[in-house]
Amino acid sequence: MELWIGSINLGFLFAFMAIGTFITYKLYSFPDITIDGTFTTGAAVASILIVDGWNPFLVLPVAFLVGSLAGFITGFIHTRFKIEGLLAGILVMTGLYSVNLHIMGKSNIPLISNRTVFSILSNLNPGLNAELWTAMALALVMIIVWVLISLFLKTDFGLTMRTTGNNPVMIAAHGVSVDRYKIFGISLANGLVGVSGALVAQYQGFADIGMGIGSIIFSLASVIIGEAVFRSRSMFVMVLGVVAGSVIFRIAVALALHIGMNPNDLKILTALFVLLTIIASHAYGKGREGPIFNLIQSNKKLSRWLLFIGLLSGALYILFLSVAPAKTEDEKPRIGLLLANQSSLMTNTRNGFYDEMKKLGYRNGDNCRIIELNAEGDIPTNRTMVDKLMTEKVDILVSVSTASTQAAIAKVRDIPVVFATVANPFTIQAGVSDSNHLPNVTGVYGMSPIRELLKIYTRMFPGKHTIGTIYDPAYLNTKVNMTEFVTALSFFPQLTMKEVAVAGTSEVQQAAQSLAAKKIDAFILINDLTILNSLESVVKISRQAKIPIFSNDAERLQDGVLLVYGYEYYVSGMQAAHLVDRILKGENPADIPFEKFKLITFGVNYDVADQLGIRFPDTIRHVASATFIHGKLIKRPLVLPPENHGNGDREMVLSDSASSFSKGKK
Amino acid sequence: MIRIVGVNKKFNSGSLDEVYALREINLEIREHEFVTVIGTNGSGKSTLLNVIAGAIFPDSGSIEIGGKTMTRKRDYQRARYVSRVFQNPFMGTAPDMTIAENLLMAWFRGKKRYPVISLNGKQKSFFRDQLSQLDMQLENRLDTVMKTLSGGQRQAVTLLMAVLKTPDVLLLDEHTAALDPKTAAQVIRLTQKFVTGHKLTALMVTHSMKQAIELGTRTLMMHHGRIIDDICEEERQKLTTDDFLNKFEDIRKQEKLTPSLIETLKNQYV
Repeated sequence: MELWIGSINLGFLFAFMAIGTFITYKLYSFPDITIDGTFTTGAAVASILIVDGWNPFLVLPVAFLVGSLAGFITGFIHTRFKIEGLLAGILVMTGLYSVNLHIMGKSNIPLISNRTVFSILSNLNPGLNAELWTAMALALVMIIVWVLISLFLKTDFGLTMRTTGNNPVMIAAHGVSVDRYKIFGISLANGLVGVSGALVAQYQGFADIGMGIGSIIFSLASVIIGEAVFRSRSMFVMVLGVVAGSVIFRIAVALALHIGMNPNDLKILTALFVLLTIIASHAYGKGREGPIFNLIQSNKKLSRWLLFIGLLSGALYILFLSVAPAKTEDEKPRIGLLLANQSSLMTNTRNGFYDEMKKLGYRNGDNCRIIELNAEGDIPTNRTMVDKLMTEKVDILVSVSTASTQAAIAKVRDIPVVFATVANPFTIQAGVSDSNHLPNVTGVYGMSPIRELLKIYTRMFPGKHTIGTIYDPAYLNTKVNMTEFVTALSFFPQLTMKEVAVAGTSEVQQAAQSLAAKKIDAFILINDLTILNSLESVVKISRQAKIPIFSNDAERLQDGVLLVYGYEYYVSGMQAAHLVDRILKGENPADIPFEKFKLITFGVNYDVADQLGIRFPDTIRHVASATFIHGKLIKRPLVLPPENHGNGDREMVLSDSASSFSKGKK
Repeated sequence: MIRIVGVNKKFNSGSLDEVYALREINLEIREHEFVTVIGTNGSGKSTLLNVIAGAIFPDSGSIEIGGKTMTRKRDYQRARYVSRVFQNPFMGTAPDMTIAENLLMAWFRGKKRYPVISLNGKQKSFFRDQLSQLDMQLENRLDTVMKTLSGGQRQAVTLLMAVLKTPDVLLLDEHTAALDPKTAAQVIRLTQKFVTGHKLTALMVTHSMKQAIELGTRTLMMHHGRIIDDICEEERQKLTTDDFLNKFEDIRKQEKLTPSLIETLKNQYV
């Protein structure tokens, strides 16, 4: 039930965006890509204002205004400089990325503990299912929006807008400034998209810099579905079709995810769907020749029937799914495991979790059932996945990564949530301290130990040094990590830092080059996924310029890094397994404090040291838990210390033996 | 009503394809005059109309309409005074809108459009009366989408739209050229009816010598961007279509440059 009503609600919220696309695409015949940016802008503005204490309803008109300003710019450069609408949209969308990041100040703003439109709404709930209550309220709002938009498009002004798109030459001959009406239409459309973003952010409980990606295709799909289902010339029916199309699209997405489709494949499927429908609709139009068009023309009736049958069977299937009793075949505990993407961070955590569960005596399928889902890097999908796990009636939910945890704690109140591989649970408002947190939430977290890494560095290379770092401000935890970095630096006055920000992996090599040109002595890398994903670019420059790399990511030792000091996410998974065990044995998550990582990996790479002409002291072999030598990785087995041993701290050992590094030829 | 002084217009200026569309045009058209314009291909007839409508700005010279300087006013800013019918019957109407909606757009020509709904029963019955003038049984098809109409019907509706709100100047750019002879004749009859009925000042470009003589009160002949002849009403009555043809033939001979000769020269010197 949750999953389906949840997707209806999302459909309603995205309908604002679909109406925007309806205006640009159906009335002005060009798909406005600006909305990929505007959607995030609306969410960003709304979140920042809500965090600032604004009334969550009042932020909606502000999101509208800011959205329409973005649309105005697209419209202006499109009409004034005669730049094609598509290109104008791409230009503004690209620019908006920076603007959005500036508005938000970081890549993600949580709203879980803030007053939102939906929290106010749920306070008024007379006792219905929460999603159902939201759906009823939203349905009422949608009816109002539907009537207002349809009526507006029937007014003299709205008619002129439509004519402007339909025949610009004719309407100019009748005294209408085509440019002005176009700018107005694009602004209105983007204003609606801004509202959509503001609402979705409040609904899912956070704004994220990447939440708008792909909006235009999803939005086009909604418009096209609506048009196919509601074939009419009446404005009322057409706008209703757009709203319905948005809802149908979201339900179709939920259905695809429910039957286990990879969310990444969803994008190409949607793209294909839009392509095919556009080809088909061209075929319906007159004067098109060619085998495909002829085929569609001759099967016009058939294809409409197929569409109808498809929709009907989809609806029946959903009905069946929601009516069918939930699988409660046995008393085995059901554990939901939610991963955000396919990166090594996630899979290592996952492996640690599975292995340790086995050690604790849980055999999947035998005496417990683990239902694993992956959001495949798509942030909004995390929420759908949480809904799906709720529909699966899991007893406990394990969320790996900040994004998944954010989606889980925003939604789940009545079952325990155990998070793992989260840098800082406090920034996403899972709690205010280790022991004072949301009653159903506990987990494993840890900031990268940057201060310790710097300490090792200064022991190795005493004296004044310039270090360099690269970071991507759009990556989720980077702002926190960088603040931590700067704080840590204040303890080492002998170090000067040069930093370069990048936008995406493709800029990393240039950034490393520019740092090398500034004669830095070492790269100190924080755990920034963008940089770690393009570590090879930094390694290349490191070899050329003979600059060693120090990293907080314990898992990249063999990839050309001189020294690592940090957490292995495998450990995070292991610890999460123990927390799950404790909860299943009857402990209340409210009484379990958040845990830090209990094991730290200190790794050194002898091969890289050779290449760079650096000699490690012999004592380091005793401290290091991992060494890479002659192309082989040797690691100590990862065993968790007994409970209540405190958070693993190898620093004491380290400070004595790591004091006699030397640089120079062997 | 229209005063054009020293207007020049060059296309593709500075390139090999440079074309002088209008050269030193001086023209005065009085109120209620119905002027027909004929000329060879590329003689600048359509450019003249476009310059008056504001779709094209002249390189030099000035344009006055109804005593107001319009030289730098855009087409939509002149629409209050000037209305147009194009050669292409698809250009004058919005294909996906209904007849009534199209007429409403014309009814608001040159006026501000507000977010209120004016297309009510009263407005529709007014449009119905107007449509009945066309004699095409369109008065009962107000809610029909424009694109389902034939080319002739659309051109007739375009014509009605152009005169619905009486304009100071009506510009007709070969508006029957794309129609079959029967429909063309029908549209020409309507044109005459509207122009005389509303006492309009009109400028009509045509390819048909017959139309040029039979219609209107004055005829302009254009060639190579110049007005080479300006024939007033009395003079016109004596003319036949053959006279026109001979006139054009004379010009060709005067120029002594056949198209093939020009081609040879081009190849040698360019």
